Amino acid sequence: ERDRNEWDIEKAEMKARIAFLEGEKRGVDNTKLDLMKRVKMLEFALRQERSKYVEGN
Amino acid sequence: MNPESEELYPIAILIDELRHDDVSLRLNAIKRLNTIALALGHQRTREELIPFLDESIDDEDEVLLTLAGELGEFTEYIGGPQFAHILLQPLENLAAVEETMVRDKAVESLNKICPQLSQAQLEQYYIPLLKRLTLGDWFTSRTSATGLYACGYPLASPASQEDMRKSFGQLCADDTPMVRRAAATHLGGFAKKVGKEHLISDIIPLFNKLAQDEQDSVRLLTVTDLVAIAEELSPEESKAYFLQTLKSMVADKSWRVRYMIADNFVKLSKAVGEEFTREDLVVAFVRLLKDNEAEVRTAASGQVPGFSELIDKDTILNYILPCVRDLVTDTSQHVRAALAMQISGLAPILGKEATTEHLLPLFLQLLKDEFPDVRLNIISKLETVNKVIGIELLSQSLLPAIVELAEDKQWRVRLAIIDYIPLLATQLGVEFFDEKLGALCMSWLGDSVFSIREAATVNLRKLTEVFGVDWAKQTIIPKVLAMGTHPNYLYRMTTIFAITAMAPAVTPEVIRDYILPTVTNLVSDPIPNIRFNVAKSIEALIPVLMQNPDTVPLVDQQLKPALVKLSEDSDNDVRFFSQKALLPVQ
Repeated sequence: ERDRNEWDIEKAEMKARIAFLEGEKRGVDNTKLDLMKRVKMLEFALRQERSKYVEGN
Repeated sequence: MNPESEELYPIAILIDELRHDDVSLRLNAIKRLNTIALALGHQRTREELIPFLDESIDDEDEVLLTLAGELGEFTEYIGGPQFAHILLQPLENLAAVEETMVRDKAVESLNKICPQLSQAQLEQYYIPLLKRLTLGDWFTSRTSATGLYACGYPLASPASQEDMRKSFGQLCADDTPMVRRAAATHLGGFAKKVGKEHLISDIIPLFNKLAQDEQDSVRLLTVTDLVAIAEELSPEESKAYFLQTLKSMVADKSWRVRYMIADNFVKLSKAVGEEFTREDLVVAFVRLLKDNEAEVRTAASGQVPGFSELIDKDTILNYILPCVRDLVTDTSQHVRAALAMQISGLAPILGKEATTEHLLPLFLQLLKDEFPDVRLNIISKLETVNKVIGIELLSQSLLPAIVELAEDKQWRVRLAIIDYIPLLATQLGVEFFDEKLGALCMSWLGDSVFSIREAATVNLRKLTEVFGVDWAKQTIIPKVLAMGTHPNYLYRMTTIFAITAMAPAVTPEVIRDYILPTVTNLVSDPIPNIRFNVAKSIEALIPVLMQNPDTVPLVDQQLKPALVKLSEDSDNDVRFFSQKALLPVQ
């Protein structure tokens, strides 16, 4: 009986841990997406600045 | 523009990011707001980003807090100080929100931006903002306003300065105590900026009013203002303006106000000047030391040496010392602990004779206090006293007290003193220790209570750390090893415990020359208890020896055979522990 309980508790803890890690992973993925967008945005801005600079010359 | 570039449009990205469900992602978006600004360039940041932030942000407090912080650093992204006033608009909104943290951060950022403004910007944008906040409907904007006066005042024109003083006065007389509290908090800072003439004519009346506020939470905040204002005035002026206020504050019916006074007493005395301190503050201080609220007495005790520095010796002896004497027997342990922490600070002020005559008895009394913190505090500050009266005199009076406690009938008292021995040793030096306390430390090893013996072995290790291995080799180790041949097996056991405890603190050579022979000797002890403790001790010694290449062979040469011998012992426990010790070396 006691072993069974312990096993249940352990299982529940593991599940909670998996859920936590999955959540974290999702969060990190989303952040990465956002960061990629920002990098693209900066690349775009840089390209525009550069073309302006070339035109100016 | 093609559809791809449309998506890369910085504000669109920001909007996208701010639409996330996850708060931490929105938080990240705001934290990296300067990337967006950088991509937009100065002009478009001013024309597009700032208005967007101004109107469309409605988020969690956490996000707003970050935004308020970011905006304070934003001047360079919008084209430099000449455009800094553009940031005022969003910050004004943030300064009026409900959450205190956000408001405070917005005020902080506004105070950062304010010095960057030109006078024209200040008159045109900052002062109107100040007015709007001051006259806001909600107390939140009015509290924020109180923090903004001090920064803008020196830059403003005389006419607006006049206005600013008036509206600050309004805030001081606000209906809600929240605003009055904020006004009291910032009054000192404002007072430092207004110049002496206006300080006397305008600020002091405001101060007096707040100091007599019906709410004690407002009154107690004026104590720091008092310090700030007094620092601006000459001693005579402080006396003229503050004598009455100070008297009523010391006698305030709320102990929290008295506590604030007591806590700031030294600062206060420094601010109002020597003469005022000598004539009037001594009486006030004595009164606080005798306060019937223990917290106030604790705070006042903390100020004793600082305050005594400012007055002459006779006054200390006649007025302060009698109070201190009473406090030594105070009913509250916290008061006594605070006093024990500070009382040694009086020694350098009083000089050698007065310390010996007046302070030492108090010292000894505190040293016998039943509350451990009191004793610890007094012992930890012995160095200061030592410098004044010299080690000879100190040891003459201190030592009997320590010896008495070290031989107390109650083993808990003995234990308490053992805990302080390493600290005492560091403060008093090796010679003093050898002469007086060395024997004491050894006698504990033969105590009848196990806890004392155990603490004594740990104590030996700490002493070795303090005085060095050479000292231990000469003083401690021979005595410890001598106990290894004592007829009572408990003493022999103590030897084992002591060498096990000391092994990590001494050099491998000492282990090889002194400790190992004793250990191997005891392997064949007649008492099984000793034998299995030898096994345990060897287990602890192995990793120490393994660390040094010179002593590694010793493990195989001496320790292993000893363990093998023990593992064939007739006693169960001896076999168990020696086999356990053998495991890692095989």
